Amino acid sequence: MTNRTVLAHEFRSILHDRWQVGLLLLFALLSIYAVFQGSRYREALRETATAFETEHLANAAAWREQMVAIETGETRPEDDPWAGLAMNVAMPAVLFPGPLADFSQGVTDVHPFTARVALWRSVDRLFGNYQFQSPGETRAGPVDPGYVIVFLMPLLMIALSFGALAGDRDSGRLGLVLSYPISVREFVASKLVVRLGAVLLIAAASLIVGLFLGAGGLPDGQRLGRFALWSLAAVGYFAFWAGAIGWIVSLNRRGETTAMTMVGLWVLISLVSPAILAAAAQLTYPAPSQLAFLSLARQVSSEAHREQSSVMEGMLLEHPELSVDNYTLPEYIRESYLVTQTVDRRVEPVLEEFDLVQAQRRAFLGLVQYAAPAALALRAMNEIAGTDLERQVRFEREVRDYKSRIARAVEANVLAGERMSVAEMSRIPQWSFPEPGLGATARAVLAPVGALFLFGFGFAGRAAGRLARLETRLRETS
Amino acid sequence: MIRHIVRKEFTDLLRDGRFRWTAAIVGALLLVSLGSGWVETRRADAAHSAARETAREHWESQGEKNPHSAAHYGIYAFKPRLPLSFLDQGVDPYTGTSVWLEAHRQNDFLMRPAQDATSGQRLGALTAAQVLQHLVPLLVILLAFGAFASEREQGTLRQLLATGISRRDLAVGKALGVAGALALLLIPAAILGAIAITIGSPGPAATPFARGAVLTVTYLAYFGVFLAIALAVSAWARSARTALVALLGVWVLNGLVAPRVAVDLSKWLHPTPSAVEFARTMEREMEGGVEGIERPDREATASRLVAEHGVETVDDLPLNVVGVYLQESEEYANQIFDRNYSALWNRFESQGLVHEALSFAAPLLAVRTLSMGLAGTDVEQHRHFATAAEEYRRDLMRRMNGDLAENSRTGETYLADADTWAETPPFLYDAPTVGWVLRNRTLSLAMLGLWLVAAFLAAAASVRRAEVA
Repeated sequence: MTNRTVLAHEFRSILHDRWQVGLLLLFALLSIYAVFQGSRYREALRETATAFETEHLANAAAWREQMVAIETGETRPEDDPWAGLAMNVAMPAVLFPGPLADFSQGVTDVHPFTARVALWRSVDRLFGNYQFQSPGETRAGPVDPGYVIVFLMPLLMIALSFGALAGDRDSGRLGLVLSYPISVREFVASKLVVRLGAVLLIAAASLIVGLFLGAGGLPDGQRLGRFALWSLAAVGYFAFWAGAIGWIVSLNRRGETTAMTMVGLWVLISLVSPAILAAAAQLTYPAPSQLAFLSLARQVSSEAHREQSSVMEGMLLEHPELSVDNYTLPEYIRESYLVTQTVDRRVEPVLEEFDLVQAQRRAFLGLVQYAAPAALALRAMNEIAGTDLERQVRFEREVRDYKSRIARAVEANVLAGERMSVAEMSRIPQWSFPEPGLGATARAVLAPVGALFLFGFGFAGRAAGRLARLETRLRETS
Repeated sequence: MIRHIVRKEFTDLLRDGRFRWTAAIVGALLLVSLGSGWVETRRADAAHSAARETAREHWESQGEKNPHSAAHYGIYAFKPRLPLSFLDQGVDPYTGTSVWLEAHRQNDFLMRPAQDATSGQRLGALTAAQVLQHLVPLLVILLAFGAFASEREQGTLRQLLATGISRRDLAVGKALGVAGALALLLIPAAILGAIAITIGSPGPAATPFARGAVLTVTYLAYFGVFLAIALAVSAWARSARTALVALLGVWVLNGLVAPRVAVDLSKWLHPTPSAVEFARTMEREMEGGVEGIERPDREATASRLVAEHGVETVDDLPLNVVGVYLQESEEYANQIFDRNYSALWNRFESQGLVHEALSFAAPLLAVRTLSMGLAGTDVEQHRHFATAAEEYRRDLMRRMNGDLAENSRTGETYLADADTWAETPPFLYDAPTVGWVLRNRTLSLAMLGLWLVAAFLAAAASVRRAEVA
């Protein structure tokens, strides 16, 4: 019996085993379902973000038209005292779904992706009405290719391969293997290649379907590049499990013990270790209380309202050129501006603390994540897909920064109670969100993905050694 | 005889290294999750109390102000953590913890704890509910899959039956043996849980001990279902290996596949709008009006009041027309909020009903619903709180507008003083009782009961027909 014969025999035995064929079909169905669900999710996210941006850009354009009408004399200034009111600047800030958000949804469902940046709103109220799904749905988590690869694929690999050696051992045919012209190592490897290869093929086929489905046709270079990286991470996770399964098989235990060990490892890797690491990160670096943050913003706002005269004096000391006394617009507009600016400034340290805690947690997890390969793989996949926590945190930070840039651009008009001109309006900064390039992303995920392969090869090496020793032992006893 | 079997089974399990290891891991996880959940709940509770006091202080110290300005200033309501929420977070991390109660608007909840979580937590947080719903059933499977199958493989089943023991007694003995081993793990956890409830903050009236007792029974029933299924499969399967694989398949379908299928199916049957769509619809209705809901008109209000009081002009009225008009506007807006929010909540609850109905295929769905409900962390109890907060908002607005209407005349500058704010009662929330929760969860209770009966019947039938060799 040669390697090729074992491969052919394994292939045939899979085809003739109704259970194994059923499992493979179920996996194929779930994979395709996940691809469709992921694609629908990304499309819904994109549509919502686009609609939000279009609506608010249209509002901004209408606001500009009012000013144009004043400047061209179509409208008399006294007929529209609110036209060009600097305080009314409102611009949309939108985080469009990452290029591969259909592959792994990441944390996009619990973080804001749109913001109406308006001077009337302090930073604690920039993000509203963004919840995208029902709480129950969010709690259950996504069914996307990332879920299939990280959770279901290893289970199928276990179901198909736990009997790779144990089947022969339990039925007392292990000694027979020695009569084959191939080593025990080659015998087991051939079995695993066929069984696990079938899983990999199905996964790869579904991912390719997802590549085209999510792109709505031919994918562009950016999507293709990220797809290649994402697939590499998925293969890395596959390699990890293939190695681990090979090692457990090489322990040469009874079928049920082998299955129990593999499932135990799956529970540990997929459920327990990510939860423990996440809990450890939260306990080590507790985030400031969100409620305390709200209370602080409220308190600052109240104080600023009460102390508006001193706030005003402070402003005039800093901007003596604005000490004009012929405002034509209501006083409360200027006051509101100063109050929201004061709130923004005073809550900034707390927001920085939130960011710092998140950065510390990420750094902590960056170090310890190697103890939780499922989290390691998913984190890399999210980063490649553009759905990771860091991107979301950066978006929220950029929105706050965008608001302060808009405030700087129109502050003089707000405080002086002057109408903005069309030329001044054109100087209002536009929203942009810089995304890391493919190269930067590849560098960022190099270590985690490399580690997955390394773990996999390490396990495989140990398995090869154990199987060689097993063969020696068997030959000695036969 | 049963006692001997129980003792043998129990001793065998205790001697089994696999049991010792898995029980130690599951037990440690259960204790850690109970501990960390309790610490987190205490921390959240302290933050909640501080925020509530600060919010009240802000409200009372807002100084002289027109009542309508105070209505716009508003107040925050913070959702409390119920005593049992340390066992099961439910949807709490995704629903927000605070809501700003202000004039003209029913706001959405803010500050979802999930935003603070690390991405790893999306794989599953370490909570007692996760351990009880996923890992303990796995432990039950590992303990019981070989109960009959291994005896048969080793040839000892025939010997056992030859001693005259009935199959029923053998099955009961084995089940009690496994249950005894499990009790070693679960009783200390239950005691710790009870202590945590006792020394924990009582929170809003929510009958924590009654909830805890029903929760304990629920989980025991769930473990009982798995134990019975494991015995049934073990008696049916030709080998221990087949039994284990089949049971692991059941576990995967129950824990990983069914919950997600339920979510997708319920979403398909009862789709919900996105938050952006929802807000846009309300804005449109608010501005454009809705058929059947009369939009208030300030002039009409003034004319009506003038006619009612038999005076010449609004200046002669003994009240402020603006206050009356503002209250009418609130009531108009409230009808639009009720219309939209009711529809949204009803959709969420319909989705929940689909989950409950689907629990005929997976007991986890029933247990999860009951667990969240009893812990006070399900969508229904979020709605209960949101409704209470909204009722408080409406009452607050009514008071503010009433104060403006009654204590000033139209066109007059009126400032209310600190006493007005202090006289406004604080927002006090009473969480629903265990009876309320159970009335909402009758379907889940029935499904779990059905599962228990069906699983035991299946086990009895399977044991009766089991081959001895």
